[in-house]
Amino acid sequence: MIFMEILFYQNLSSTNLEAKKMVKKRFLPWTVIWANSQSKGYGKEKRFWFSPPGGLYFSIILPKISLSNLQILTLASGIAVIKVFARFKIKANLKWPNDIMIFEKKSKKFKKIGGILVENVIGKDLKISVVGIGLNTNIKKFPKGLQESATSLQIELKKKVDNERILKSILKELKKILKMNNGKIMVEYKNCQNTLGKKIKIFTKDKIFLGTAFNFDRRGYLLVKLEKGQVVKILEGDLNYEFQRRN
Amino acid sequence: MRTKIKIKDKFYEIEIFEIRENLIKVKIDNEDYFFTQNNSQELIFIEKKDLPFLEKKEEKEILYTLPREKEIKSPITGVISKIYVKEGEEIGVGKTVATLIAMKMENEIISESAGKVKEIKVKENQFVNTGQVLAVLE
Repeated sequence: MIFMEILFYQNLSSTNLEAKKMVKKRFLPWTVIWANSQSKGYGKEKRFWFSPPGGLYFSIILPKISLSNLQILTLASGIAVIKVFARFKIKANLKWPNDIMIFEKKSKKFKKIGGILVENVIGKDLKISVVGIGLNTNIKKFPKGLQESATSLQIELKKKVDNERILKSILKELKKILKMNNGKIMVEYKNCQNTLGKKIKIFTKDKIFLGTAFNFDRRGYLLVKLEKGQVVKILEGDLNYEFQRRN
Repeated sequence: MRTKIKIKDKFYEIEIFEIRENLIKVKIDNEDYFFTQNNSQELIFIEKKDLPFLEKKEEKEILYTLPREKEIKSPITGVISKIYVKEGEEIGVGKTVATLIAMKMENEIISESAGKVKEIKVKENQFVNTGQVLAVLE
């Protein structure tokens, strides 16, 4: 049996920040920092993450793995959430690499129901690894600016869910996935994602690409065929599915 | 603290002394070994040739006497989102050099060497490969 300790807080500025502090105080891998709300929850590049009371916000201190395997953490966390949601009769899937989305029939749009941020500290090897997961569980309503793009389990299921049960199920699932080999994880990932086959617009740091996502390489990088047939490998960028040609 | 450990049928007598904050002496069968800690709380071995410096130096200076590499290389492939050091700046072990993003992971790249930054070889938003030099120390 692997060690697991869950520390609950009513409010934290950010569970990831707290987890990173705790690693330095020698807390063990699989310590979980869980908050009922975050005052400064953030996603990639410190983008604001709406974290009111009722949502499920937690960070896991991960065991150290080899640097060549690092990308598996981001994929495995996404798979774990999708599998647990399926048990709650929620058909969610991942927008590459790990935005948790559900398709809303009424608006014919994908809406975000959760997000994942892995943060690592690396020297010559991995020093600290923390995965933060923010799920819109028991959130009744979103502010105007988010209503178009976000939803929650409470809105979709029309009832509240048990955050603790979801959290423990995700931990159990994540441990199971991290024991798989990379090939098997990629197979699982393909079953959980919604990006392949879609026409997408990708905003990387210095370029914008238009094309069709057609596969992943063995590390999970996204392979995109551009309109003129050229293939590009994407390891970082924001995807937009709603790209439509104007002509 | 004094203890005995057994490795492959041989007993070793071990004694640990905290000489002062961030400087530990481990005595194994009358042989002394010295260690300090970096920002990630990892123990770093200090070579004997550096010992004469230790008694007189402050914690920060101890780090500067550690064995070091002149190049700080990217340990993984990704895109540099932010650079935290400047040319001419003195940096210690554990200092965050840059943040690198890949597969929606944010990776703080820390220095395992100490010294003065002579040259920064990359720019923000630049794609870097594993092993690519990020900065050179004097």
